[in-house]
Amino acid sequence: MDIKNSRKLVRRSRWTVTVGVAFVALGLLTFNASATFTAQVTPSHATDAGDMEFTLGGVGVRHRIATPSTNIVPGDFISRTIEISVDNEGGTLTGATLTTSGSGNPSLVSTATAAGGLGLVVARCDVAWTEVGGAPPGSTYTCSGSTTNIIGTYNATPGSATYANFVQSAASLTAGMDLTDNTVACDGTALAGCNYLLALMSFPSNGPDSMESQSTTLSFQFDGVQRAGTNK
Amino acid sequence: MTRANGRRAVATRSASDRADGRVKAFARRASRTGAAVLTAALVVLALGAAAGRWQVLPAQSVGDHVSFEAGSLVIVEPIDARLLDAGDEIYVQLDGADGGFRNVVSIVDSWERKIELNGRNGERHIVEMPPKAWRVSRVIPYAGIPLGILVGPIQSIALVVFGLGLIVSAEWKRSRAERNIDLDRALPAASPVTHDTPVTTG
Repeated sequence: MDIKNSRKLVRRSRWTVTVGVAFVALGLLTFNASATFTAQVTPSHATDAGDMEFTLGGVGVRHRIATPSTNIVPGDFISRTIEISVDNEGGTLTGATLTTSGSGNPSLVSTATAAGGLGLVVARCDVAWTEVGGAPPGSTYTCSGSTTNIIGTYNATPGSATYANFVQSAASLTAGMDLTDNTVACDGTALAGCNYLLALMSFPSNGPDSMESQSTTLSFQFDGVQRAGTNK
Repeated sequence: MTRANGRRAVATRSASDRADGRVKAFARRASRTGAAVLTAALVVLALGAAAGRWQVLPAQSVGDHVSFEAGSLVIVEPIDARLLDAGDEIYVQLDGADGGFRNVVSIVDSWERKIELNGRNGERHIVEMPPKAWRVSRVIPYAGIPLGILVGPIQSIALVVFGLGLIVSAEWKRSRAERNIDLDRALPAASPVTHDTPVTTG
């Protein structure tokens, strides 16, 4: 081998080394790419049960239901407002029911009928009821908007209303209640999901003497009706 | 070579030959420079990947709403998963499946590192990320196809062994050639005295 060929070989070997380094680098690079580096994630399944909630209003003109009525006699009418805000996030509610009952011994409602015991009308006004005559007892209420009958038939003159039997077992309120999800506090205006109800009760004039001096606590129980189960 | 008139022919190169030579020399130099730059880039990328500063990946699985196509070469960088943002593109391995590039739809809970990802075919996944996420930094279209062929432990070992073999054999040949050059230099210069040189004695 002459000196010229040897020098050519030396030059060529430098480039061979460069190519070799490139192959080694590429090998390391592809090894890193194929290795399972810590990018694995854990799929998590967020489960969020829907909210279904009725919230009663604070005591005030829009919510007088807690004010007791005492010393009632046949021919009396009792008007009390009820404010209910609906939490129906995601449309989990499809309806509502009202169950009314009385407790106490003896009770004004245990054997009551619409004609012989306490009668009941529940109506909804799309804005807050206007209180006439100050806080109960003695107050009446008018609706400046439009009313919807929920139980019985409302009339601005209590004596002209059509009363149903006070005792109601899961009476459907779907037709009369606004079940839209409400995210703000009810303020008396026609807000979606704010229900301004009036419970109008009558002690019929033909109430028997046996009801004298009896006492009962009237209970209004509102229940939400969950929508049917489906694939989620 | 001797011409008919008895004079030696002088070897000359035409102008076009000289231009050809210059072009060839330039091409040789350019290719050597290119090879050196490519090698240097590969070395830098390999060292950075080994140090965990980045990873070079072929995009083989690309989810919905990712801004590049499968077959691209992607450089990803590690970031704290809590710093991910909606719209980021990351490399993840979902549920033990092969890794892929996914688009971040939204951050469900940054503190818990829960994010919502676009999957494929309209699917979406809520996933809990590890502390470190690999976010897309650079994309080179189409360059991922050849890299995709070379990715894998067997290919990687073959590349490294082949590269080391080239280096060892080149070094061995170079040392032999250098030894020859050294030997050549060590030989004594030829003596001007020949056997028919007349020698006169006293």
